[in-house]
Amino acid sequence: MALPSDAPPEPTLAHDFVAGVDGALEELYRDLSPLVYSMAVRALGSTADAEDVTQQTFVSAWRSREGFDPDKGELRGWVVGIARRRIADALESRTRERRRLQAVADVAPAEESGPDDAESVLLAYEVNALGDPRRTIVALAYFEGATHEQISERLNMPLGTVKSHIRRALITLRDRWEVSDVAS
Amino acid sequence: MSHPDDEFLAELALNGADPSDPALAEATPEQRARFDALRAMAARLENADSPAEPLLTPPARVWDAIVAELEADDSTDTSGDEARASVGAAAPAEPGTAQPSTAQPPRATGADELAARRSRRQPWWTVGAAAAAGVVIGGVGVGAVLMSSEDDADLRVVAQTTLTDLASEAGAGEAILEARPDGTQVLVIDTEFEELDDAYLEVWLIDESIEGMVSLGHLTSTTNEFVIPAGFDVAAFPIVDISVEPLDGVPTHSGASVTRGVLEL
Repeated sequence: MALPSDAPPEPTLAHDFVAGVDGALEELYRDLSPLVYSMAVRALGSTADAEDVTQQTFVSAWRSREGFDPDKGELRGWVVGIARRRIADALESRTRERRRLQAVADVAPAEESGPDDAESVLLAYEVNALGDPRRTIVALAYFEGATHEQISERLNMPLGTVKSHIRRALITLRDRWEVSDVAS
Repeated sequence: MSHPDDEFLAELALNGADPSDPALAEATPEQRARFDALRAMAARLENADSPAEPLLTPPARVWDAIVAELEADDSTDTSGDEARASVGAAAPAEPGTAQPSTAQPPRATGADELAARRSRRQPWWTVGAAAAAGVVIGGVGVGAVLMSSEDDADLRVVAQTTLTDLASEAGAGEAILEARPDGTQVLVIDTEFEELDDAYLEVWLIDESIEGMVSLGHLTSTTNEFVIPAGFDVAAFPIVDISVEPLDGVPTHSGASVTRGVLEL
């Protein structure tokens, strides 16, 4: 399975982060900067812009950390919500710039990427974060197009168990997705 | 937040039902909202293009720029746009280097000290999650037993799972969750092992996202049954994990999982 093997941050990190504990931002950055940066690269198609978005996201998260309640929300979803807003801002200012240029010369818009690309990075990350066996089952079903019967056979797992894992995975993914959606 | 009827709604969404499905005729607006969210999530999965590409790591200068920007905050005492807090001496250190923090309030002893020690230790889940990635779990659900033998005075098997040796992927015995007549649940570990001189084996229950965990105690040649604390919901922590713990007094998981299984509840 060519999935990244990152795991979610420890629950206590959220409390340390909000309390401003030395090293908490560094730890959060180590955990989440690959996700934020990859989302931005895919959405913006530019590593320079993605670096800016990544910087803005973590600076903004640190400055506004007191607005995050570690007992009510999930830190990862909250940070991803900030990243989504920064990506949207970058796309918007790019559109404005393009319009300005088009007013001068007739430049054809280069429509190569957008927020959907960031979402596919996030989706892959969240699927991975499901942990096994759900990560493997969902990847087989949706990334490799295997039927539930094929998965059952390949993993030597009863068909009903496969289906139950997919249902529970869908519920978990929806819950995780909503955290960062609400934050945005 | 998960709800009891989420499984039903998820099944509908996975079967391609739309909001006009007769099964939803009497659904409340709140249930419909959850169904819509599940349906949207299923559509995202359906449209997922390809296996995940490995994540990219931003260049080191991004972290440097973050540190520089936050240090600038501190020296100019800015206030304004976002709920801004002083970064103080807590401006993050360069990765991998210790930074003397002069203005840092002295750390309290006790819980804080423990937290500090814990943070120096390798996060347990990096090892655990990597190991789990290679495990195919042979969990067997026996929920039917639970429902059909309510009056049985004997020990009832609530769930059981085959344990897998994470190093060899070989079967390594079984973990069985039993209920006593008084309702107490007991986890019985049936596995072969050798006692170690400089370390011990610890039994854990871990949640599926590998975030939360609880220690049940030490596995020894005389102790292989672990009473589940009253009110503790094993369904929320279905992964049975046995780790090697060094004799270092650190109460958290060492990250060295040797055996795992997942209870189907």
